[in-house]
Amino acid sequence: MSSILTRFVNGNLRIEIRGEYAEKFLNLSLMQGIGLSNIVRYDERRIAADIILADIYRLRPIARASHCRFIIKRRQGLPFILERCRRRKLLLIGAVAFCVFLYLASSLVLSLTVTSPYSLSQSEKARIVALAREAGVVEGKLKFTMDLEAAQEHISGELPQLSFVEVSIIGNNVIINVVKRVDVSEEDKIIACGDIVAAKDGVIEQILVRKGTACVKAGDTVTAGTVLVRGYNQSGLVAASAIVSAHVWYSGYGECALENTVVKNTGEQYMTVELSWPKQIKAYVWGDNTPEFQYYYQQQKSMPLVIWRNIRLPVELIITYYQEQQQNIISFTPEQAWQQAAKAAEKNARIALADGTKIVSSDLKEIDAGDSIKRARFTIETIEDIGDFVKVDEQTQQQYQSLLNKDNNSTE
Amino acid sequence: MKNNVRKSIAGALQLPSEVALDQVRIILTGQNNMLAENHKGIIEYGRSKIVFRINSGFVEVLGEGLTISSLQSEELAISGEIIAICFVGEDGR
Repeated sequence: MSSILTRFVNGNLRIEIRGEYAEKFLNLSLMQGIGLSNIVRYDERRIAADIILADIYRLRPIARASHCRFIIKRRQGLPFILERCRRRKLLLIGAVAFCVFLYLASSLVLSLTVTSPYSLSQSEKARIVALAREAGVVEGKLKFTMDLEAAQEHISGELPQLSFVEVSIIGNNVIINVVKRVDVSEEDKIIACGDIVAAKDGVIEQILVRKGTACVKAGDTVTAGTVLVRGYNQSGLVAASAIVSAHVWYSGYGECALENTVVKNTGEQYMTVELSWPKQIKAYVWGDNTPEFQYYYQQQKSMPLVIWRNIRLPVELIITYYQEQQQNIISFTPEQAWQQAAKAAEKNARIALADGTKIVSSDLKEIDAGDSIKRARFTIETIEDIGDFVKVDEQTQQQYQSLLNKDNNSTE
Repeated sequence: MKNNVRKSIAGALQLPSEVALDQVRIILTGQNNMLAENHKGIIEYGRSKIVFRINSGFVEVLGEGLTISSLQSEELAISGEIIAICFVGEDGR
């Protein structure tokens, strides 16, 4: 690689040596310290080789001494390129001009685009673009002459409704990315008066009231919908807020017979096609209504015959599929049946359980059901927050207000 | 006699023989590339046979499409399909 580079920098010549004693030419060159490469013999009298440009003048006496002649077949390398450039100045100027033009053309801003994660109206976009132009971000200008940060500040200063402005350049395009400030409406700011009610049945373990008046205490049994904390306190009507931990029980039932019948499709299918006229007149086109299956599952599809658009024939095509089924009896030992029933019961109990709920205890009970079937009940006890915020209606708010007034009067 | 003394000195000092005795050193890479160091010049060059001089005679490289990819005063690189390399003494044996 380095030799290729050296040859390129120094200039490389491909010479053709002609004569009887080409080997002598090579040996004399060696003795003079002239390195040759890529030596190829064409025929008895011709050999081609590469030499460095600087060595070419030293070859003349060697050629004379070896009775050979050499001619230059090809010139390569930097000195020849430079020489060509020196002779063809316009080419060099053109190449440089092209590079400069390419650089400048790729530095020109051709368009301004406004983007936002939320929708913006055309007038808003036009206003942002106009502000960017005011700040010097204009189409046709070189991008490195623009102060994007100043443009950003100008836009955000002029449009306070924008919470975020970013001006960046991608290729020839200026991208102005903006985010509009979304103010919370006054209606949303007012938190409605409301109660904390029980979402589930349970026994209160602990109640921690942040706002409102507690209606229950630890140890109380509550059912779903019971008001736990009312939405008023000394200061007036409030949106009640509290953590209400309660013991909640979940129960699941499962059973498993010692002999279970399992129905399975065999894959065999039978199809009938019939034409149906009004007044229950039917004619089978394909098959009849007596499939040779002992157990089967039947599926029917009716297709009205349409001639064109809403012109229909008073005939209907009914296709019936019969899927053959097989009944298998699976037997369990009493122990296996109990395991299955327990498993099903636990699965059913866990269905209503939310992820991450703290389980306090669990209990599995057998329900006495005789010898042919095993039945199980699985109970899970958890402690969870059962409080749910519910807005109260006008009437209740008035009741609370009157209760508050009464309390205040009694205190005075 | 002179050579034998050189040999014994080189053996005693554990010097590489291509340095001490000016012997040829040939490195063959696969069947297609050969590098010979300490050659003494080209005797014959053809597409199927290259003969070069060494200190103790000649080396014949037989093959097909042989080219000298580099020829320097110390090194000779041959590329092409090399079939055989023969060492021939000064007396032709």
